[in-house]
Amino acid sequence: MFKILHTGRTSMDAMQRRMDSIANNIANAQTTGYKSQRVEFEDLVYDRLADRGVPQTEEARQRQLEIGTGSRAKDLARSFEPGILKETHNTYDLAIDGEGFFGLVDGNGGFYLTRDGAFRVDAEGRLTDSHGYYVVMDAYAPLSQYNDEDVTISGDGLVTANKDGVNVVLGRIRLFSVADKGSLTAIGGNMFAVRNGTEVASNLDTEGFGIIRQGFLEESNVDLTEELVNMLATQRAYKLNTKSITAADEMWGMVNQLKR
Amino acid sequence: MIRGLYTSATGMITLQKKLENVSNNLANIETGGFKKQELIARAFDDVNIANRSNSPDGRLRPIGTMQLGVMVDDIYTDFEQGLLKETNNPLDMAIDGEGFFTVQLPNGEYAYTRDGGFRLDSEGRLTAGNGCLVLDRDLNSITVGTEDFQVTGDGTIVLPGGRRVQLNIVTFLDLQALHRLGENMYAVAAGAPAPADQYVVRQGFLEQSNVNPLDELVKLIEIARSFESNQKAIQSIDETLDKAVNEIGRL
Repeated sequence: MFKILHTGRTSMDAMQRRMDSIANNIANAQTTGYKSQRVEFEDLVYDRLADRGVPQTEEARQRQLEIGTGSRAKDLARSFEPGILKETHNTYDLAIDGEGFFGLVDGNGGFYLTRDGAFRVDAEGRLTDSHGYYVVMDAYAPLSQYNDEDVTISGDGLVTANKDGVNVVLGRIRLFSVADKGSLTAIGGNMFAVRNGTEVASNLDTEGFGIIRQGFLEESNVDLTEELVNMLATQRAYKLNTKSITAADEMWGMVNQLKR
Repeated sequence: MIRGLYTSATGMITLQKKLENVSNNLANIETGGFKKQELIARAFDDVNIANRSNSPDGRLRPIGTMQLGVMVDDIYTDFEQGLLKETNNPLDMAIDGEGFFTVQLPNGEYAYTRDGGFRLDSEGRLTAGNGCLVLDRDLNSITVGTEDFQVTGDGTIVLPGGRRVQLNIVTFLDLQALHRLGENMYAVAAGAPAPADQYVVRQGFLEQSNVNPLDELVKLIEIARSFESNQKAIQSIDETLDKAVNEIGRL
């Protein structure tokens, strides 16, 4: 009986995990560049029936029957499906139409990836994100000496300024990509940290990172309808497992009443 | 009379195991590719019952046969197709029909799974959710390196460069001989896998668990009530014993 209570509990824990991730997705339905996460499940180890005082046929004994012990949540999987691009007309709002990421470096040399391209220019003329982290680019000249409307950023990241009819190349924004996107860890602030030892490819070496779109921002890829449907299903599954726990509890009660 | 106590006790133990099984099915109602199990019980073998006390000549008089309890006969896995849920994730694959994906365990042995929620590892190889490598027809790992690929109905992965790799989708003569490893995987103790052919692989879908909550809840009620009946039987035997021991001998 104790085992049955435990089996139900494992699944309720797992459902709770899924509910947490759904809540997080819904909370980030409007977050620029947010990538939805989902929880899938797997069954737990199976327990041999034999040698536990369970009456069974000879064939059953030979086949070594097993009964499962519940389920658990697998690693969190993140969907890197692209979000919708929303037009903002801001010079330094950039969106990636493709698989790549922008690179960010903080003051201590930490390196992060992001899909959130809401950038700005700081006092020194460097391109930064909303936290003040620097966007990884090959910078040739400070951006601040040009008016925003004169700066164009091309699909492959080339930043050019047009002043008095003369085009000046100011730098080139780099895009990055990793083969195993599952290894990226979300650290908040729309940023992903790269696991140590993971190879990060840059679009200066190879192709296939996507095109930068100036004046657009990538919206969250959360599908609210799907999240709400998942929420209902998760709630029901949670409830269902309370039923097997209740049944086990009642039956245990009956056993206790055997001896009055 | 004491015999009856044990008969009811075997009933309660078997029902407890049935409940364990139902609760595992319920616990895996959202587990991808999970196949429900059913515990099959069988009565004990018949035994001859003879009576001596009421016989006029004092000899054993056979009065027929009787079963003295119930036991576990089998745990059967129902490999019925689960519903396919669209996820739009290129790494999710579902088998519509017979067969299993082949994966390699860390110890080098092969295992089989219906859960096609795959990932890429740091070297760009296709892995199952638990990190085991997914294998192709020649039992080699599959390096894709990108999520931008197509999967055809027969399980062939077509990579951007035109390279084609076919997933090793196999089936078994006796599916009941498979045993479960947990983490949505099956292994086979004896018998070699054979290539499956009655299937279609669908990319961007996941197979859901084939547990039907309604069936399981009905079973749950049935089990709880049968358990209660057994408990009542034990209690009434206990009462009868009480009378036999304490009242018959009283003057």
